[in-house]
Amino acid sequence: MSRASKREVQETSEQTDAALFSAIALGDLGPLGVLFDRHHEYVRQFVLRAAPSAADADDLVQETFLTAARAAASFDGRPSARPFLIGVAVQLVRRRRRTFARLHAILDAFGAAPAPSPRTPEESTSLAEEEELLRAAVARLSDERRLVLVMVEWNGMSGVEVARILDTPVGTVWRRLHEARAELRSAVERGKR
Amino acid sequence: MTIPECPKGSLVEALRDGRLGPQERGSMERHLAVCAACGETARALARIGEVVRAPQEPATPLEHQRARLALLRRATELPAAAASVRGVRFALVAAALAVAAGMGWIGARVTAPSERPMVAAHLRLPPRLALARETTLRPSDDARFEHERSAGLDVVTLTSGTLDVTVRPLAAGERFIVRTTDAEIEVRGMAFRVEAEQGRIRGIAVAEGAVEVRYAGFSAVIPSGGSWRATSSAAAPAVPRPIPPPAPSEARPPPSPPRAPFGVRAAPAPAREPREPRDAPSAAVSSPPPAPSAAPSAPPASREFAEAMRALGRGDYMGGAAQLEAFSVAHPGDPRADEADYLQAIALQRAGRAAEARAAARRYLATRSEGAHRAEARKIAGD
Repeated sequence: MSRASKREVQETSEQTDAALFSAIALGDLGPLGVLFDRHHEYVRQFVLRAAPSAADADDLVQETFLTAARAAASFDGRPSARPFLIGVAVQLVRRRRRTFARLHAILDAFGAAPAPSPRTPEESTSLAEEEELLRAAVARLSDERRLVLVMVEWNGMSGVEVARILDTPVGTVWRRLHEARAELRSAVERGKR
Repeated sequence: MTIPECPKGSLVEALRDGRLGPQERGSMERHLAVCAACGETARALARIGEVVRAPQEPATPLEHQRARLALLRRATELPAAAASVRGVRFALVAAALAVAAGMGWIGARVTAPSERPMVAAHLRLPPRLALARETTLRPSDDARFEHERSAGLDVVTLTSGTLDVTVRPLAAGERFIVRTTDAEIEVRGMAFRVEAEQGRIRGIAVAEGAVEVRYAGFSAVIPSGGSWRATSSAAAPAVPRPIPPPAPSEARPPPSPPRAPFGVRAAPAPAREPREPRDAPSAAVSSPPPAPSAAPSAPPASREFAEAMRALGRGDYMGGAAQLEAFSVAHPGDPRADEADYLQAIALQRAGRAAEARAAARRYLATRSEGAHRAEARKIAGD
């Protein structure tokens, strides 16, 4: 890499998210790589939780950054692009279609699932099993309930922030969160019986 | 044993979500310490939170680089990329090299064909040679090339085949360049192999020293032991351009700065002109021939969109709004048309044309049922 190129890469990597989005909005896609390096893992971790199937995660992360690049001009200039990226990811999770990969993964999981075996009382009450029950139940939640749950519990977003991203009233956010938790608790109770 | 429900049970969730005021919070916290039912609810909610927050396996550096490479490759296919892909081309190749480096392919003799990335692939290195006293060119049987030499400038134009090149140490002011229609390789070392097909670069492997390759708008130095392979679609064919003769006073001419792909250079320079390298006048591509393998994106659309964005950037909101409208009318199928329609409303709002901004937002809502900015447009429209 030439010295000039090194300097340019360094300058780009030191720019704020807002400056990088401005450059992207003007047609320079180079800074997209820098944004990806900064936020890829964060977005990926969100999508792994917010999308019901891990098979969708990589596609959704890619689409998130591509969509963010297309919509770069509408980035509001806040210091971190993470809320913006999460907002994009949320829209993609909501709009996603059941991809062939996801269908395939579901069928694979179904085929590989062991037959239920009788459980001892100790096994039934184990935390690990409860965690498994919860994980499965989270995956079965509707998109709207799961998104609210993940944004509140994992992203640590306030109700107002979630409402802004989902374009819903704050009351709806709390209602969906309550419904999500109630559904999860019911699933655990049913699983233990 | 079933724990009887508590009338305060609904407040446990409110406490967890920070929806209680200071007084209620204190009261509820004291209540939790003595109420078994509410304590159980609080534990269940905490457990749900723990499961959601449970660590997920992070992406490995290799997975990250692969995803980055795939992203940048896809990004170059976006119409928006046509305005200036210089940066992403460079990043794409850098990512490709990083992927290759991560897998131990660069400089290694071991290859893993099943997972070989598309951009960076291992090239067989030329035999290691003793330091050359004279410049030598060893062509493959099918190689076609021309060698011109004048005033300290060696230019080898390779059309096809493979060329093993050894270059004697260059004196001050001397340059040695291997050129294809789409790339230039500036020699900084002693021995390397270059491969071309139908006039276009295919790959380079460096045995001794280093070479600087300028290709598709990026410039990178390939060190000894390194190799690089071009994608088949990364660059449009270039127009051969005059190479400036070496400056006699310079001990070594500075490497040329990165250049945009030739097929893209015909477009006006993007807004970040101060950071864009300048070409010598003789390098200007005033009438590039049609590029059969040029990106399918339409440069005029990208140019128009970039111009509109520049207008907004310099505060010319009315001009920008007009340009965005023209863009949307001219390119209704462009992915940025949605953006353009929405930004019209923003531009008009910033220009102080509130009524027109509302009208633009309503137009957006009426015509973009799946628009990405409907929520914001509704706010502008006042609906």
